Amino acid sequence: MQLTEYGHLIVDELGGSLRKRRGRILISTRSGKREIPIKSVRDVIVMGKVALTTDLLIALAESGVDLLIATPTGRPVARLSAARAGGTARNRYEQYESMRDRRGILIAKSIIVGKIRNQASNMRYYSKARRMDRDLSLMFYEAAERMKAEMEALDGMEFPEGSLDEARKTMLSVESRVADLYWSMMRFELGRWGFEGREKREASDPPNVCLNVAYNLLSSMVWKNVIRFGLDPFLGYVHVERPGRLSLVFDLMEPMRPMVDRFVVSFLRSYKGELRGGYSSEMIASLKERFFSDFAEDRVEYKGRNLRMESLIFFYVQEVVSALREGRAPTTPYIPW
Amino acid sequence: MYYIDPLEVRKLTRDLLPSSREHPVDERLRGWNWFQSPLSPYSSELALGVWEISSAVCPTRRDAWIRRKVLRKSIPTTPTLAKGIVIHRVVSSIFLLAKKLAYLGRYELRDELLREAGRIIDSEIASMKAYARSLEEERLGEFCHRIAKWEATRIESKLWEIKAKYPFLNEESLVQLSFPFSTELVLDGSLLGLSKYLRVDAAWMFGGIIFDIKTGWREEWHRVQVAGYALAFESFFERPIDIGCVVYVDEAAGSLRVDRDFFTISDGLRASFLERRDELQMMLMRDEEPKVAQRCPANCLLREYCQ
Ligand code: SF4
Repeated sequence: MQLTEYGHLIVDELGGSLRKRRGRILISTRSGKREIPIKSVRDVIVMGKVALTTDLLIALAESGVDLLIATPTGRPVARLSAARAGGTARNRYEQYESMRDRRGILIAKSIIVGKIRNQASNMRYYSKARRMDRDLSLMFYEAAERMKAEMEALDGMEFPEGSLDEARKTMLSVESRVADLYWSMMRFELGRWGFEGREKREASDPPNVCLNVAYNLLSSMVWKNVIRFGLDPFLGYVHVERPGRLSLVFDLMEPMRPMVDRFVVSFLRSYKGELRGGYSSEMIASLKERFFSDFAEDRVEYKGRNLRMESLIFFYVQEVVSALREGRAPTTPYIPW
Repeated sequence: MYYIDPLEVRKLTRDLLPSSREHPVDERLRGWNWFQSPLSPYSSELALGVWEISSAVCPTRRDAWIRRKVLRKSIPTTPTLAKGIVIHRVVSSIFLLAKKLAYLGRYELRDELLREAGRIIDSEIASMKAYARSLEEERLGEFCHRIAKWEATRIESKLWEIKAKYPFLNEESLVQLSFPFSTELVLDGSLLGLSKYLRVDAAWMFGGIIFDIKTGWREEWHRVQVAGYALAFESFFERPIDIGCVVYVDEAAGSLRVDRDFFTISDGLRASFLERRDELQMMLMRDEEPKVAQRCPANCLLREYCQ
């Protein structure tokens, strides 16, 4: 169990209970008891197996504290939020409408362009980090340039109104071309820990496992804000609708994935434990901790403000909502270095 | 140019400085981290000027290519930049002479400063004319004289103000209080792949502010240029620079308009400078001649070498 400086209570114990006691959360686990004032908690993330009382659930909802239930690898399973949160029908209405007009295309394009821009930024970053190896440094630099060219070409493309399905195909083909190049280059950064290519399911090499866990945690941060703004998490612009798939959440986390990639590389570099035999539960526990202490605390400049990653996601989702209402493309978060 | 008025002091103390403390610059973007990505340059040998990197006048950066590979000399890209160089030299020469005279115990400086300024103005315009034939020398000369008059008067009055307040100061202390900034601060930018002889227009001695004089429209790259100097300063002195100021000096109804743009040297500005530096270094290292731009500024001075 861990309470971060910014109020994330992460519960990953197997066994124990959480209950309410006089405006506090009483946590009883095998290692002992601890009481935390509800006021000092922003959200509770349960990744382990604990019992929760309804009294506590009500108190959390009434205090505006979100409760997320996730698997041990961080994949979100369920969320409890106050009944009145996200009660903005207008945003949801605009979201549905935008699927049929140019707004949907603008948003989809901004998501893919934003993601490629950040991927290119990572390539530039590693190009510099590897500057002692001239050839490799140049390869990274050239990959960044090719990505930039793909991004600019896509940015300049015009798609007729109402052609989201068609536009999506073009965008996804650009995205997958760039992804191939990107991950082939990331092998130079991640290869020493057994990474051979991106594996979304059934990964067993530490880099892929870390990426999957960190993306899951990112998705829960995005999900929270999508609900907060009353958007439908199942209806995406880039990811098509499929029962049970949080398409809009996956859409909006796309531009931030390269930021997670960079975090994972730096996590693996600094991880002191053993990695050669594959991943371990200690590695995942340490990754989760660092995700909240480092990644979530990292600052990124967005629309003239220097924001912590958590606030950045809030403002980004808010920006998508404003863009929907104003009929323009949203500004996507960017790591310029 | 560099004396801050009470309103600006308030803006600095109540707004910019607290906000720069609240949202500190990412440590990885401080100049003293020059040895790691993203600060580290691709090449330490290929030393570039801060102005050369930041300037966004030529859309393809072909101007830098022409200067480096064809002409092998530093020529401004537009008459506005040429004008800026002349103004900058006039101002710096006035400050230099004023300090010299104050050290000699002379406080009635205005006339002497104006005589020196007149000489500098004539010689600078004559040498700039060799590159910028379209420079309106008479008008520029008159404008520079106005700047010189304004600056010389301010310097003299500042000196007297300090002297009247602290009558028993020796020359050294008097100069320090009257000129609380270093002008023409030379920095060695080589750790960041920049020139060894960077010259910062002025740096506020106590508060970590860097100044740069410009004329003409405000442009985004002016702030980027100041960020470049801040990075070089940080790499050299290992001291933080959080605030930048572009001093805009322009003609206004037969008079003068001096406007100071204070801003925090944010992560974005730093990153933008570094990105431009890397692109320029790579372009020159890979010997890739940039294309002629599709939309060039009408008054580009390199046009005749370009096509
Ligand atoms: S003429 Fe155009 S391409 Fe050539 S240097 Fe000037 S701005 Fe650049």
